[in-house]
Amino acid sequence: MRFVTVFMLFILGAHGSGVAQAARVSEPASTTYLITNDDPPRKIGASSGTVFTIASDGTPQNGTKVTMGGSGAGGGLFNANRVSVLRDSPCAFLSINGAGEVGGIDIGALQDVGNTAGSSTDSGLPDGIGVVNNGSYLYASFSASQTIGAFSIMPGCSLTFLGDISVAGKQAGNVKGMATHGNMLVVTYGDGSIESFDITGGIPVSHGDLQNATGFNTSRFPAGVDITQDGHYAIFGDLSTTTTIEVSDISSGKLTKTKLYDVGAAGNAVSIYLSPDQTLLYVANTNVGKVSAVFFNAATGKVSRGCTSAKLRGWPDDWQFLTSPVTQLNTGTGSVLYMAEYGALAGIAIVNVSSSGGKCTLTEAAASPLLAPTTTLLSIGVYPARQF
Amino acid sequence: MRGFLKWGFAVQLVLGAFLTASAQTPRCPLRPSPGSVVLDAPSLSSQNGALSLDLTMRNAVDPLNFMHYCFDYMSSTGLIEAPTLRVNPGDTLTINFTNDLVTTASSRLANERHAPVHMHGMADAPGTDPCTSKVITPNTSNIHFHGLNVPPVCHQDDVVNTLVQPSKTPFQYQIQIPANEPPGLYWYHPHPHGFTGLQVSGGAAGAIVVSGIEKIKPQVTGLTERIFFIRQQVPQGLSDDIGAQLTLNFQTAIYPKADAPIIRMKPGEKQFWRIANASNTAFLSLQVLFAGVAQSLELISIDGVPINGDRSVTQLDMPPAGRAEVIITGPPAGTPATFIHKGFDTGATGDPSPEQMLAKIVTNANAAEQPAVAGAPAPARPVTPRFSGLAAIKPSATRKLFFSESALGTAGPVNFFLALDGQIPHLFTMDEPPAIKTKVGAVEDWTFENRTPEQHAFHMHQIHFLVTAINGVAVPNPTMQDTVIIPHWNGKGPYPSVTVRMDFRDPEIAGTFVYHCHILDHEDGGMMQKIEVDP
Repeated sequence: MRFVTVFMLFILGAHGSGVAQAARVSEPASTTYLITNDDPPRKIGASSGTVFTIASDGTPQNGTKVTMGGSGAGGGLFNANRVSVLRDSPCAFLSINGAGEVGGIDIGALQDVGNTAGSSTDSGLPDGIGVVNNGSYLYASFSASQTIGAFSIMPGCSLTFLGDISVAGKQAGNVKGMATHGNMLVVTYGDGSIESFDITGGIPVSHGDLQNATGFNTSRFPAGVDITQDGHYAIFGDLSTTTTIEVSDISSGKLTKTKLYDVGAAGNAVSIYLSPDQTLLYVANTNVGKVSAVFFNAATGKVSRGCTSAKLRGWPDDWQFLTSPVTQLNTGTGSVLYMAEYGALAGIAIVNVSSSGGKCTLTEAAASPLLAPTTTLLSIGVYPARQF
Repeated sequence: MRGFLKWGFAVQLVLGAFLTASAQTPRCPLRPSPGSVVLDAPSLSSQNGALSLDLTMRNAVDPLNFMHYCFDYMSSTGLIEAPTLRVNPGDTLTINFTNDLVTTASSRLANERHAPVHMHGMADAPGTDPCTSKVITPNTSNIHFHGLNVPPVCHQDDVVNTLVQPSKTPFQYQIQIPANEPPGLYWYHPHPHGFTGLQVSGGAAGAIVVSGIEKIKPQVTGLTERIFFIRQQVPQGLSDDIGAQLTLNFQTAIYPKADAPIIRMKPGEKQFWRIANASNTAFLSLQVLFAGVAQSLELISIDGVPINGDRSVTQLDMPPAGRAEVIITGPPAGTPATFIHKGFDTGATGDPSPEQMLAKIVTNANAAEQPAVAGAPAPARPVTPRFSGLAAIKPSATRKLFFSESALGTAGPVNFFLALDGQIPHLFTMDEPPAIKTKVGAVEDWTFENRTPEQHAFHMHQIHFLVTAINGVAVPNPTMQDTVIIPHWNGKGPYPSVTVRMDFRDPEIAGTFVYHCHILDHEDGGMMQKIEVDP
């Protein structure tokens, strides 16, 4: 317990330095922004992000396209977050998947601040590049080269490449999901294994805890990952034909054996997001056009069944996916949930969240789905971001 | 090398530009150049009740970056690939199989999909006994005798335990063709779990013909017989959905990007075509067109089993591993004619299977004669026909199974499941226990549901089954098959289903064997289960 306290203080220190550096950008007023990574297919044109303001009723509006340069990938992994927003500074980092770069957007100024490449071997095609940050450093998972690139977050939403490491799962799978908490980076691999890294110095160093998750033995492979505010639990959403969640106690600073929770039959929980108050875990049921909220107990790490939305409006029952849940507000349940709808009828799903007395409801908003900037939309970010 | 070039059959192939890397080191024979005349594989026929041969599995990369996997047979005139094996019911087939694979790449699944390869434990040191080694690497191989109703035991038709590692010491397969094996087209191909697709798409597949079809279908007697194997090749580094090319008897069929293969016939000539879909993933809809019009094909047999009665079709829908035998009539002189795959809707997530001309049919009054269907020796003793009375038997059990998938990204599904209804799907591993146990003598009705947006191809080892219903509606003319198309789900309404009647009455098939999707990437990826049939 004592160790945990010291550890937490260190984390806060690291986080704070990153915020101070990155804060020298245009400060928006109390506006909430929704940022998409448009990630167009290669040869279509320069990659771009689109920045919306969010109206008081939760509807994104006034989308402004910010051209980023480089080329996109036009698709890829569902749960690789292609947008990473700083928690206390209006900077969004978007992966430029075809070019193998990461670009910064000054959200307040609606400006591209330039792209930064990883090493010459870092490559994100064809499955894309996931990005995540801890305030000081940004990490990019290059799916093709099986590397994680580390970047220092510089003033003005720019990045400096530090270096990369080669990574592979226990069965040689590549990185699917990443999450940070202070100086810890937790990674999922496509082969059912998980690993954590020490990122104190920027470049990830394995904690030596590479292991198959509990679900591995029953073909449930962790893909999406999130970490509780106190860094006690890492939560995993499984690639599965049912909705399964796994939880690992990481309070020791390393991953421990995951506990598996089967919380429904809606299918494939690869994209997850913990609500700001940590009472709900949102699960985009990727293949079936629904979203679930399962109850999460941040004190015990236990997961229990919650609620599932109706099938989202206009869902085409075809080759269409739902990914990247993120909330409007960074308090409470988040109030409104946004998700990327990838495919022929691409859109931004808008779902109102209600939760009280151990019951919850997920109701699609009248304005949903909002026409997406691109049919290849897979990732969304919101600023101000959740504070963990 | 000199002996290789002497071989008459290969001479015209040498004229083409399609040279393999084995031109210097003849690990695999040359394959025909585009636009050449399609020839059947050389045949080896049983003599005095036995056929014995040496086969060596080798691999080599050709200049176009295709990895060949070849069943090499050294004939008196040189090296030939995947010979047709002709046997009679009751014959003994002996194959001394040598594994000479030198693959350095790891599994395509592992490389491209980053999915785990589920297999036996990867032991530190390769085992030595092919019946017990439990080691599968990219260089492991074996032989599956697809469609033959023979025992699932090591040295016969077993893929659960039989794993042959590279060695100079041959491994012997010895199979007695059942006296009541239906006369027709069967095939052989490797089946090492995790690498089956890799080796079959490299070309490792050949025909087995059980003689005697003219006794059941006399209309084929005396007709020119052709054996067409439609395979699929994929350049190294590309996936099936973007790089696969169909081939006809090893000749690339990519017209108009290259000249089409040529099938020669005499005008108006009737021929007996034995066609196998030996592709990795392709569902085929085959037609013969005269001036663009689909012609009638007299259906003789499906999956090696002659059909009941007479039936004509204008289109053959064939899953991967399916076979069809038909009589076709050649076009009148001067009429443009083609043999085509008209394209197949494999569903939203299925590998595309677009229209492709497989061959131009060119008439010539002097077209070279191919072997005609000859009579086979009569069986030594009367035999009870296989599958007799199956349709009328009350099933001893009914089961429901389903196909499902999960996806990690927009490139398509990465995990493939086949499970019993009510079970949580899981990826198959070779060391898991049988999912189903039954007894010799059982007759069971199985219904398959497809809960995915792509087509699947169910294949049962060791036995055939009677296809009785599709989507709950009785099939008007049930056929015995060993592989059947399971239609894709379009996201609305009930799952598409196929019901079949399994025939476990033959005591020879007692043991443990597998059933799986015959889209080989799916099989390698885990869409498989075991069944144990107790004596």
